Amino acid sequence: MKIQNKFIKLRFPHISIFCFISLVFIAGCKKFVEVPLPVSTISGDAAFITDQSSAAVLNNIYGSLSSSGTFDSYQGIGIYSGLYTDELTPALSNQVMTAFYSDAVQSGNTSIYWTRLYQQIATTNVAIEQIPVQAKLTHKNQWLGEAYFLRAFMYSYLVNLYGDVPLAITSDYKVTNVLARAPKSDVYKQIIADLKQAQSLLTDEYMDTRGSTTTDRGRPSKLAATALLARTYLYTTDYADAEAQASVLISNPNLKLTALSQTFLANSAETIWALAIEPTNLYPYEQDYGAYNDGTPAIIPAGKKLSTYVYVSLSPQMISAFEPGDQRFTTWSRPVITTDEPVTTYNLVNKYQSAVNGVEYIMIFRQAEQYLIRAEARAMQNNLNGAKADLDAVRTRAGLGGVTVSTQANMLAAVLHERQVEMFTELGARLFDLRRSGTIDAVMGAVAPSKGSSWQSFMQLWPISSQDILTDPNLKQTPGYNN
Amino acid sequence: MQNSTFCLPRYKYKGLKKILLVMKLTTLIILIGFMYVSAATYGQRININAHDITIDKLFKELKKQTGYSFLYKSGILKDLPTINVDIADATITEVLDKFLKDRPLDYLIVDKNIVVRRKTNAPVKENGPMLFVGKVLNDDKKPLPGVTIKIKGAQVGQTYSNEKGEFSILTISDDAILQFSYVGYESQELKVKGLKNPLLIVLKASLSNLDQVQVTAYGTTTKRLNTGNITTISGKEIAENPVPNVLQALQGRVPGLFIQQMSGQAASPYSINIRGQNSLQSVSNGANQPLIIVDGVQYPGGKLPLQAFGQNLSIVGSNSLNYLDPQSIASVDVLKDADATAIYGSRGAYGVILITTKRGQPGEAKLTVNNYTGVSVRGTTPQLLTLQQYLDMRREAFKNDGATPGPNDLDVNGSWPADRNTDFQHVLTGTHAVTSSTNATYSGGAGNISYLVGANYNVQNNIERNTGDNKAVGLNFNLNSTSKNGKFSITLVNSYSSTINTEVPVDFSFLGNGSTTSAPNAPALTNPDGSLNWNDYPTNPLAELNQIYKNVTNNLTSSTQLRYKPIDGLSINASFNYNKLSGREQLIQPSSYFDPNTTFFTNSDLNLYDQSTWTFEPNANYTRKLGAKGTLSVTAGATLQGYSGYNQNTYGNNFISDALLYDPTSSQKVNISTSYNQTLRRYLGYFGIINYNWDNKYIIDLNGRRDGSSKFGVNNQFGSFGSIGAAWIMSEEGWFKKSLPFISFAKLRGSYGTVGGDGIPDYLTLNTYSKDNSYETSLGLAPTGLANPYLQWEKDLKKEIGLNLEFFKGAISFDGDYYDTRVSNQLTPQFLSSVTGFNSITLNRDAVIHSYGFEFVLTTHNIKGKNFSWTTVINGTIPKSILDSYPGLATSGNVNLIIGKSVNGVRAYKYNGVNPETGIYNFTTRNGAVTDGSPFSGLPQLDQNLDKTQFIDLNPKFYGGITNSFRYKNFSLDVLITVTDREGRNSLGQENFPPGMFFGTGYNPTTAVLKRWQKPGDVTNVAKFSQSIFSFFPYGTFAQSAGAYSNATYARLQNLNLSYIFPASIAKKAGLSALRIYVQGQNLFTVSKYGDLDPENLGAGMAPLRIITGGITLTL
Repeated sequence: MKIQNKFIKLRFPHISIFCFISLVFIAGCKKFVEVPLPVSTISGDAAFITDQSSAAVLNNIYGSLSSSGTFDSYQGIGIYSGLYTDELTPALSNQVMTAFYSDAVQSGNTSIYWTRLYQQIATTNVAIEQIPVQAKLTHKNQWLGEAYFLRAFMYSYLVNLYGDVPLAITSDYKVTNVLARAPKSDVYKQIIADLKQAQSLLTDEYMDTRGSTTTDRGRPSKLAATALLARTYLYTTDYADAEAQASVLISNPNLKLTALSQTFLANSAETIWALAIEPTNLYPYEQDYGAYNDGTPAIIPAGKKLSTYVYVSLSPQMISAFEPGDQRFTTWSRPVITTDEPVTTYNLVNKYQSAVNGVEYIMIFRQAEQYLIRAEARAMQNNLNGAKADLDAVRTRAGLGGVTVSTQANMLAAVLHERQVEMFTELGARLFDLRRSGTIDAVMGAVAPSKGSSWQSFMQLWPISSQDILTDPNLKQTPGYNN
Repeated sequence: MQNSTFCLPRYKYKGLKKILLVMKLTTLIILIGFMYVSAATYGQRININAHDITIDKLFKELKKQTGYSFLYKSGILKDLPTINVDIADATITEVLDKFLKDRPLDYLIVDKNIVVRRKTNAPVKENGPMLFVGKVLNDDKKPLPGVTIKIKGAQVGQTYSNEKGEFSILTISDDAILQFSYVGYESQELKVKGLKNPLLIVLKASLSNLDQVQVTAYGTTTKRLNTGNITTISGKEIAENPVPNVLQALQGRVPGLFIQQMSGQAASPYSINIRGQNSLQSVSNGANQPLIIVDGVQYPGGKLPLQAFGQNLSIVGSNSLNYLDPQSIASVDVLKDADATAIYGSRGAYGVILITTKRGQPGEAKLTVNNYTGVSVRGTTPQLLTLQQYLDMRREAFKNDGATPGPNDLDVNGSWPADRNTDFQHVLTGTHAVTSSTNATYSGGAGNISYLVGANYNVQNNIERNTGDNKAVGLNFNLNSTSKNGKFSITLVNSYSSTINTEVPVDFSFLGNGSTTSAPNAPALTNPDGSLNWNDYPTNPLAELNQIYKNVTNNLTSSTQLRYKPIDGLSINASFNYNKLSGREQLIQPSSYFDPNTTFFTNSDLNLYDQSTWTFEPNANYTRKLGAKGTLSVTAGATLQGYSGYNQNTYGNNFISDALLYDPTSSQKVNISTSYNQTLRRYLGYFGIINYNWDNKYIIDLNGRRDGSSKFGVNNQFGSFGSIGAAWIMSEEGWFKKSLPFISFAKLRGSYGTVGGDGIPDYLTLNTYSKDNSYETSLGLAPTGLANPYLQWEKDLKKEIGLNLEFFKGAISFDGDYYDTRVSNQLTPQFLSSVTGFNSITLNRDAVIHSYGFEFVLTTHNIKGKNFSWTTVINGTIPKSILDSYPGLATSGNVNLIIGKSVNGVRAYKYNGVNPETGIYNFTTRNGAVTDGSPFSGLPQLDQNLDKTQFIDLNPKFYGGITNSFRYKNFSLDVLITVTDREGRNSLGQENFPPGMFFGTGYNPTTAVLKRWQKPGDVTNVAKFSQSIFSFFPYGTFAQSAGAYSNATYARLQNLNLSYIFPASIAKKAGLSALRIYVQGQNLFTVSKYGDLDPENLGAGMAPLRIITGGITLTL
């Protein structure tokens, strides 16, 4: 008995077709798992092809420097080094501020700068490798010059905060991940080389993100490279070169000492380079204005404390450092009084006075420092009259008479003092000066007990990231710190 | 017979040929008298008007109109005269009766076949084909539909009882044996010899769950025949839990599945883990995260891209299953071992949770409505110091420090009255809220179509002291249709739900929030006139409640499954599945949120997100007999999956009016910021499965597959994996039955296989730049990270052996499994020195994580009586996950990993309690030196890496649950107690400030601090009170020491369910076919030494809520 099925005959071809289509479909699927780049990114190879994208990579560095809490705000180098030395007294006691004020910093407190500065260095390393090989860049020199300048700028802070530091000048992470600390002198050599490159590539003109000239001083020009080079020569005791570089700036007609009240305004004539604050940065409070000033009323109402408004005020040592009649005391600081018993007067840092976005930039290099650099360089070279002239230029602006010292040692002390009252809370200048001048142990040894701490010489350098010591077997912690 | 044209499929099997052959024999006639005619249920009305047609032609026409197949021997219609047919609106039986009556023909309707034969007067043969008809009933004498009735050993001729329990089946010889089987009932076998029609079969409810259906990737199996490890939880068990997320209902019920609820707040995330942590990648990348499949549709695993809004990250991100109504679930299957998960490939590397929703069943349409309403009550609440205890603590702190209160110490310097007493917990946190859930389903079906339409509406009010609630509305339907010839079937499953959460994301009960820990004599949060006290509280916590929050989450799930069976044994399947989970989340801070005396900027933050996943899964299966007693099943197929997700965030501030806040773009341009990102992900896998079953005794299952993932480098996207699973049902062996008759079932099974893991973020192989900090309003580009183009699959080697035993026909059953997983070629984050400019790079490393453990389920039917029964189910898991090897661990930066220790742990300083002489913390350095953890004391300093000599394993050491189920007549009571043994950070380790210190408006710690050191000689774990800022340092060290951890073992009365089913007679009076009322409780009682915090979420957020509800289920 044969049993037939009509359906099978009819439908077998259908199955074959189905299977065939499936197979073709699957075979063509190798491509299926290749996805396009995410919509909001460009590939690494394309980042430096155009002027716009090259400038954008640098923009990100400036943007993060001005907003990440390294050169700005209540977590910046300025405020913490001020607490660490003899400039500031905390209004608020939190664990981190206490650690800095008590000179008891641990790796976790100070390594944020380390991490952020190296993060930007990595980008400059890529830029310095990539920009020279690009064919289509119109403003190649500008972008490359900025990259060299920025790398030198980051290293200058690294070396001043941590001493000997690894010298990463390649983008290869396999190399940079195992670097040991390089001697400070090697780092300085690299900084000077980079700055000379920057000087040769940049011009005195300020440029904007499209490479056109502008009056805005938010991007570094050759002037900024010169300013940092002058500072670097001074710090490395190359006084003749320091004097020469500072002189270039002092003789520049576009740079002047302004009235005290205008020094920190955006694009003031005193500005050599300042970091602009993004208008989209919704809280000016995060900037120095918010950290030091923040519209604190002159008479703090009952029930409110200073810490309601700001985190710090000027320390007694800082207040007493001002000579009578020094207008910097009355212009760059201001008193506030609490209403609650015991009634107390505090002096707030008042260099930044405006809550309005765009009125003030974060000052990085200004002309007064160049006068002080040249004064010190000249004093070191025993050109006391020259030194006095530069020092008096700064003092006159502050409403003070000229210095009356006759010996080189006294002149150097006068310069150091002038730097203290001129440059207070400016990105660690005081800490670096104390260390350079060799007075740090004496000064801090005297101040520390009043802060409830005890000073030891190793504390002049800060500890680095302890996590990095784990991942890089060649990296050692800053001497004196055990983690 | 050469020309015969039976319209039956061409069976090759002798058995059926015989059936057909003997049809000419005439045993059937006598049956016609009481014939079970199912035709009536098929209501086709027939209309034919034709002249001079053959009977043959008539049959063909009838087939066309009704779908009935006619079976007859070709010769029998010969010589019959043609007829004139004029029928209008008749049934098939009417037509057949009319036209066959006067002819020498009989007919018999069997299912959808009509057997036509010559009339004969031959007597019933003793040994010959017979048609049996009858009815199947259960213990309660109720009809049982869907019972499988087959002839033992035959491959065909299987049939099912209809909705009235009726059936009919043909047998060939009187030595045949009829088998009746139905899930949940003991199978019955009847020898045909001597049987008399009609049959009345009563099936006894079974104690065994061996034949419970278990859902697998592309089909179903049973516990009896499964070679892999699958745990099935029924919808009934899930419905016993008055919870908004099915995961809560699974807690403590599934061995190997560890679930932690992170917060009691609505729409909170869950930590889910199957068989330990096997990857060093984080959960947010999909690692260690089980695959969740609902009706074939992949749900997003892990957290949703919700905004944190300043909340503790571990309680933010919700969970995709928050958007599925637990009442709609028919079953949950948890797939664990290599064999069970193999078919999902790398997607199932971390286990699979398969959820099947309720389906329509053929039968009369039924409307079932279930509603429960109840109250949720705050769980474990931290106990803070009373006013007196607080003030005593502060004074003691000053005494200890030899200090006197200063101007800032408002609580004890006279500024604040010593008799003012505010219970901030009471002011800020609520105690209870109403919760309710309603679910209605309408389902039914006839013939080849079944359907279900369901709807649900669930409301959870906010337990915090503010308005807002979490409302979910859902609609689902499914449809199942099979073509007339049974060759093609289609299943549609669709659901859509919309969940609106308006609870402001603020959790005052979480101690880290710091709002309830003000000094008890701190000023009130409100002024006497009811306005907010901004003077003492620059950020007044009550203002948080003035925020406006709304999160609308829409979840669309759609699945279409097609099945085509062109020939017997071959099935071609395809399914198209789609899930879209999208949301709109907005947080608004209106002017009432701010102190009106300050300059403030109102905020509006709008977050739009969308996650879509589609899969296309074609496959074909061929099953045939191979060998005398063997069945071979071969499946081949593929899975294509695409995922796309996007997030768009718009933030605006400084609005001119609160009325504009709902539109974040209605602020000034400079005050608006937006961001957008999109992620694409693709996955492709092809596979083959060979399954061979010899006589239901030996079963072997082979899987091979090739997976491709877009997460890997171009040359490493594909990997090949495979597994083998085998089972030996020993109890089927003759010798076993003889020697161990009390063991009614014994199965030994094992599996071995590899799968790949790709739990890493997308795009790690690409070197890219993306938008970051802009400068002077110009775009900034930053490198997104270090790319590694060589990334490839993580390799997951899974081994498992299991034993399933049943004693005394299922009165006692035991399932035990031992698993062993080694994951190598680990995708590890290699931490980099900051000098590189990056944090880490992801690398494949030759590191191995070894997870192993033992899981068991013991079920005992302690009492089984007519009126009373008592069943106990105990399950437990002893998991272990250790790091076996890790080359380069020392420089990897993974500071909490140690070879030979758990991968989920922390290293901590050695804590030696409090120095009995001085009352300060006592730690031991690696050299044995004693220190107090303060940088000021002059004692040795602790190295934060080298001195962490202790290791705290945070993995659970044991977890499990005990369910006791009691039935008394119509009452039933189910009680689930869960147990978890593990370590957790204790409340002392979680204090925000060292006890005794004043900060802001004071800091009131938990009562755990009362055990502090007071005088020399005191031996305790809690240091003396101190108000000095310097106590931060030793306290900070304590928080990183072993002293900050303690045992968090707990037992919890997780679920209690008491229900009563009204007798049918009463239900009928109310016009219902069934009526049930119940009381349910969730998380009712916890026993733990852990203290002030909840031992489940370890203080991460609000403790899981206690829920008590009452409900009713009625069926129309």
